[in-house]
This record gives sequence, C-alpha cells and structure tokens, in this order.
Amino acid sequence: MKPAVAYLPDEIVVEESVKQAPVTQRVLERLSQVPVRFLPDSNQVRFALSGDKQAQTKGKKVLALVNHKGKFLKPRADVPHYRCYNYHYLYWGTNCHLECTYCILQAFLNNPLITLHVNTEDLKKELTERFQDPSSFWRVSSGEVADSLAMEPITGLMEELIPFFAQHDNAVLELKTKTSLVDSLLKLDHRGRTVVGWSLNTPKIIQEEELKTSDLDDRLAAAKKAQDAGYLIGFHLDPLVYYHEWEQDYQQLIQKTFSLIDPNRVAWVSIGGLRFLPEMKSIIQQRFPKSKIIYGEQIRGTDGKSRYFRPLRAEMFKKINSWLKEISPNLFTYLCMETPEVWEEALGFVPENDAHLSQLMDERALSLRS
Amino acid sequence: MKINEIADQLKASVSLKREFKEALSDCMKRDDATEESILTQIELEALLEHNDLSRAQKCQELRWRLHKLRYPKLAEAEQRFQQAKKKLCLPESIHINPSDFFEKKEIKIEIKSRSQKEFKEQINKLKTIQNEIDDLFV
Ligand code: SF4
Repeated sequence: MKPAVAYLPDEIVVEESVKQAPVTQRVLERLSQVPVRFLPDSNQVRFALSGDKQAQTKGKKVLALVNHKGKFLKPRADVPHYRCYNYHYLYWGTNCHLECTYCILQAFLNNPLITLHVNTEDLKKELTERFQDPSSFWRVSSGEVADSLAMEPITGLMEELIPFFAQHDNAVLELKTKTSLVDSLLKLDHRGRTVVGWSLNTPKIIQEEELKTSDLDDRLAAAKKAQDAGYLIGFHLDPLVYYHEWEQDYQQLIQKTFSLIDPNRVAWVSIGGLRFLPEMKSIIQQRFPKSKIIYGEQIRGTDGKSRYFRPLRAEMFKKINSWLKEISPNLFTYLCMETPEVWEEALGFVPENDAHLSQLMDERALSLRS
Repeated sequence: MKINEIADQLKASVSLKREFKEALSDCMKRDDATEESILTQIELEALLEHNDLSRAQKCQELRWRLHKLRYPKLAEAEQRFQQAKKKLCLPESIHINPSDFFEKKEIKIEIKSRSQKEFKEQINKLKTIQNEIDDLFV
C-alpha cells in the first residue's frame, strides 16, 4: 500500500487579516518547520510568478492562507448538451499538490499557489443562511477545485465541516479524494449527511498519471474504514482511460472494490471518460512529458473539451456499467458530463434534464440515510 | 523533421503542414516510434513516387493516412459513413453530413432547390432512400 505524498510547502504566506483564524493556527502548528511570511495581501506572491513558465510547479510549493471575500458556495457551470447533476461547490481553497497529469486545475486556475480560504466562520455563516429554506435541498461538493482530503491532516477543515453539515437536514456534503486521509473523520457524528467519495482508477493509470496520490489498495482500505464508520460512500470511475488492457484492468478494479465494500451502502458510482481543455495538451506535454493520455482518440466535444470519440466512450461506459450491475443491480450509477446519446447507449435511459438526475440522486442519498 | 521537407516538396499550406507535424508527433509519442517508422507505416515512399497523383492529391492522401493512423476508430467511422452515403447515389443538390466527429447521433440533410419541380424530385429521392439511411447513423 502506498499512501499519498504528504504536502510540505517551502513557504507559508499568511494574510494578516486571518492570522488568528483557527485554521491558520492549526496549519502553523502542524507545519511548524515551514518558514512563514505575513503579508497584507497574498496576491503579490502570486503575481510575482505570473509569466514564469514554471509557475504551476513553483506555485504548489507555496501555501497561501487567505481571507476569501467572495461567495463560498458556487453553482456548477451549466454545459449545453452534456448532462450532469446540479450541485454547488464549496470554495474552501484552490489547487492541489497531488499532481495528476490530467488535472484540469492546471488550465483552469489563474492562481498557481495552493490556497486555503481560512475564514471558515464566514463560510459557515454563508452556508447557514443559504440552508435556511427547508424546502430546498443542497448538494455541496468539496472536491471541485481541490482534493477534499489532500490537505486535511494540515487543516482539519472537513473535520470541522462534517459535524456542521450533520446539523442540516436539507444538505449533503460530498467529499472527493484520491487519498486515504480519513482517520480524523471516523469518530465524527456525521448523521449520514456526508458522502465520502473516492475517485478510482486502475493501478496502471494511478501509477502513470496520478503521481502523488494514494495507490488503489490504500484508497480502498480507507473507503472500507469510512464505510465501517457508518459513512455513505461514493465512487467515481472517472476519468476512465482507454488503453489496450482497459477491459481487463477496469473489470478487476470493480471486482476488487466490491470484494471489500458493501454495495448496499454505496450512495452512487459515477462513470466518466477522460476529458480536458485543449490548452491542457501543451501543459501536459511540458509538465509531464512521459504521459501518453493525450494521444488517445480524443475529439473536440461540442463544449470545446477534448474527449474520446463517442462510440468509444459509449462502449466503455456500457461495459463498466454492466460489470457494476453484475455486482449489484441496485447500485446507483450515473454518467458524468455526458450527452443524451451516450446515456442512452451506455445506461439505456436518459434523465430528462440535470434537475431530474439531481432528484434521483437526492432520493438515493435520502433513502440511505440512517 | 523529414515531414517538413516533404510538406515543402508538396507545397502544403502552413496549416496543413502544422497538421501533418502534430499527427506525426502524436503517433511517435503514443507508439514510442521514430519518425522514420511512422512514415514507413503509412507507405509514404510509394505515395510520393505515385505518377498518377498531383501534388495536391498527394497532400490530401498524406493527410488522410496520418489521420487514419492517429485516429483509427474515427477514421473507420468516417470511411463507413462516406461509403454508406455513396451507396445512396445522391444528386449534387442533396448533402448529408454527420455532426462534427459524430459527437451527436444525428445527420444533417441539406437540399438546394431552384424550382418546385426540382424540390419534388429531391423529396422523392429522399423517400427512396429512407430505408437505407440507417447506415449513416454512427
Ligand atoms: S487529486 Fe484532483 S485536484 Fe488533485 S491533482 Fe489530482 S485531479 Fe487535480
């Protein structure tokens, strides 16, 4: 078993206004060996890297603890023709040190620093206000612009948020990770309001493309611990990568997963193919010259992203779905960012729209709550 | 790269030259292959020596061969679509095209009519092919 590489920055930059924030205090205590600089505004560090060809790599060595002044809860962007469920994502921080070659954040973020929005009191205040209407239901993802747990040993942030979500009946917090860093969460009173999700891939892809993440065995062992602690868990077979032995490898992955995990306590399994912004090709070539994932049969989708040629995606998803359903016909599977054509071909049904898929997922989450 | 010389020799446009280079370099990286071996695979030598093809035709053929090597399944679908379309023996005034890269499972039929008579003929033609059109949906 190989755990994820622990994050150790070369420097911590703290905005003076959040010097006393509890998360800041925790980070400084847990990374007491790292030099710290207090600044009125962390942007000067970020701007100093602009134009630097190595900005992505250098930026990850600086941890910025900042006072976030905007919204913490943001709606997922709507993508015409590609269906996905509706959710909001929690803007608790940005960027990640785990170095997946295909990570979209490399092209998406304009700030290369690993950034934590440490004014969590403001975050909780905003969530409390938003969750006030009992007739609304909130699906909140914490794994959109960072791995949910990669920084947990340093921040203790999810440890703080899980009990907070436990107090709200109309919300569910989703964590998404490629690590095994769940130990601090196991004793929490989560009341089934948190789904801990793992992005899974074959050992070959983990080794070649998810460079600093936990290996498969480590992730699955963590998923088992979380399930045993009563958490609902989710899996994301995403991004599926097409290569010569993909069938055998993904089938083995599914078998291995469910030899450890009880499928009846799995909230959902998402299935999605590798997709990336076209500008990622040159970034991957420059940062990860050994990676071959950009040389598959990726075409330009109607959303402008590169993704596998449709019949190829449909074939992969259909097989993956059938292997999952062989494990348990009751497993809730869905496609991530896919066209109605692919839904139909692979899963045999098409949700009417994003809201319909969201409703199905809400029903699933509610039905499994203890 | 040898492909630069070949593209110059064939008087390929700048964008075509870029396309050749990208497809070639992607295949080399994907297959851990040399430029030489990729060009051998696509039988470049024989193509260049072909006496019956013009420079422009050689350019288009080279483009297709590289495309086929870079995107084998897509190229196969494109070929199947073209063959199925050819079988329909459509007049020049009726165009049938798939969506870009077959991303949507739909075809677009475009009819250019200059008279009611021509329009009626075109509709009749479309009626005669209605049972064969299934092959066009990739
Ligand atoms: S774990 Fe997620 S956020 Fe982190 S590098 Fe990989 S893809 Fe990016």
